[in-house]
Amino acid sequence: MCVLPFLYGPPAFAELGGDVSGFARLVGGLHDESDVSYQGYEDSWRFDQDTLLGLQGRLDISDKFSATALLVGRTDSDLDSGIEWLYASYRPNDSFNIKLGQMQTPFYSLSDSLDVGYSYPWVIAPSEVYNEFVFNKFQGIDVRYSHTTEDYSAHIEAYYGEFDDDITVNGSSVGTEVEDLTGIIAELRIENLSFRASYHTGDIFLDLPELNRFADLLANSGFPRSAATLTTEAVADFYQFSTDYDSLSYFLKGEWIKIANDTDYFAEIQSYYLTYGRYYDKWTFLITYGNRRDTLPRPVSGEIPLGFAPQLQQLALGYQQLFASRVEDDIDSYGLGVRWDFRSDMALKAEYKWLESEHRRSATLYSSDSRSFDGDAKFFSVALEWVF
Amino acid sequence: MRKRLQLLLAICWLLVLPLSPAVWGEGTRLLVVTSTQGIGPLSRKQIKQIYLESSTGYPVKPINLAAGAKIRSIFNARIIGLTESRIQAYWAQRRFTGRSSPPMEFESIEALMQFLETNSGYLAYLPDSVSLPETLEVVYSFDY
Repeated sequence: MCVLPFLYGPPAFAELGGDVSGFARLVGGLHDESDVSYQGYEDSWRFDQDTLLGLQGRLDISDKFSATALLVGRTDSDLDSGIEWLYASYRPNDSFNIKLGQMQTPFYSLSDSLDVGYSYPWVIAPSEVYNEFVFNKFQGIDVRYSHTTEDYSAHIEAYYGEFDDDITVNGSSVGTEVEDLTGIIAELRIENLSFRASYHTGDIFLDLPELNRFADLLANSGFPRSAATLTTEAVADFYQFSTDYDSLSYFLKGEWIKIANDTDYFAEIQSYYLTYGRYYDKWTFLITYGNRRDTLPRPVSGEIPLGFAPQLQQLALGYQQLFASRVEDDIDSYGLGVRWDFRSDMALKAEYKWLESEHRRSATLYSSDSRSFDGDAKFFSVALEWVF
Repeated sequence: MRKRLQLLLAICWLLVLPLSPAVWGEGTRLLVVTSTQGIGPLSRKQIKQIYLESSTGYPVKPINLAAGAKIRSIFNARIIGLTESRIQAYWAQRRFTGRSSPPMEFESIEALMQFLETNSGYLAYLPDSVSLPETLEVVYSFDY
């Protein structure tokens, strides 16, 4: 389906009852710390982390059936380029929309448009909440019901499916499988005020062979409780709430998330941001506060006896080191941004952000050499956004 | 950190300062019309919902003038209650989710009138300087 737009070209495609649209963004950024990676950015200009081009083709097969494909080409080599979404949708009436195929995982209020920089005010959507390890697509079914009256519009959405691909954790790729991925989303808009609340859950399997090997070693040595804490299978729960208010002169926007899991190894993450923006004709000025707090579970203590054999000493040490190697976030960020809508389909943006981490080693400001890093960084980014 | 907070508060304060009143130009009247008879008068909220949502239950589809048209700015401000750039961003988000597409756009009032005269089932806005054919029904109007 994805090749159709190119075979026919937009005009002929339109005659078939189709539509081709696209978006592009050129994003550059740098920060002031050496040996630190923030969202893939370093202490010299990089333009290859968020720069991308997306092309969406939609073919209306009938009044009720359509097929959509989204192709995204990224300059970031850690992320896949290619078919992002490919789904069929069925609209039996104005209220229901049923989608089947590969589509965006609707975790966030901005999930469906995180790649479309034009649709939001920041250069990079607040990293505390829109985390790079949260996978943005799944295969399955999604049902959305809408109800609009004069005073409000309400939407209820539910989905079920699976995910099998790599995710990015602290700058490296980790093979991930998610089964029984399911979620429910409720949205309400009253005039210019809107709310969104959602809950998502799934069984996650992470491909971390080192952790598995050490867990096997512990189990074989007769320490099942310690071994069990290193499981790479988890039930993860994702909670989300967001709200925004828009007027002719200003807007307010905020989103809160909590990611919990049932392991004794991986962190529980809670984060939120608040943005206030002011419109002056084609200019938007905004300030953003972001916050992320992780809670790390503690290792089992006392199961491996110490002081008897050097091998056991080694094993206990190895176990403690695995727990100590985890990174945890306790971070505040303050951002000042500007957006200039110089054309109706293009915008220029710039943002300056202060990041203050309580920890020298954190997931957000990932440092390979934490001795020289005090946990604080300043980040500057610019973007050119285009939709067509 | 305290200093930074003070700086941010100071900037907040500057941003809250009132916007100078917008100048709309010479006062005249904006008409919201349908090319289907018998829809009856609509409220501002109903018109807004028809322009922003796809599941309104009204048998009319919205159409727009191209961005930059003065009367479109007036319609955005008074009926939709959002800035042009915010509306563009709204549609950029909706368009890439397969939820709905922005209203069809026309480059000029003449082109829009021509379309309305031959196609029923549409909702549009026009200045009161145009002479309305009988096929169009005014469902809402206001002075600007």
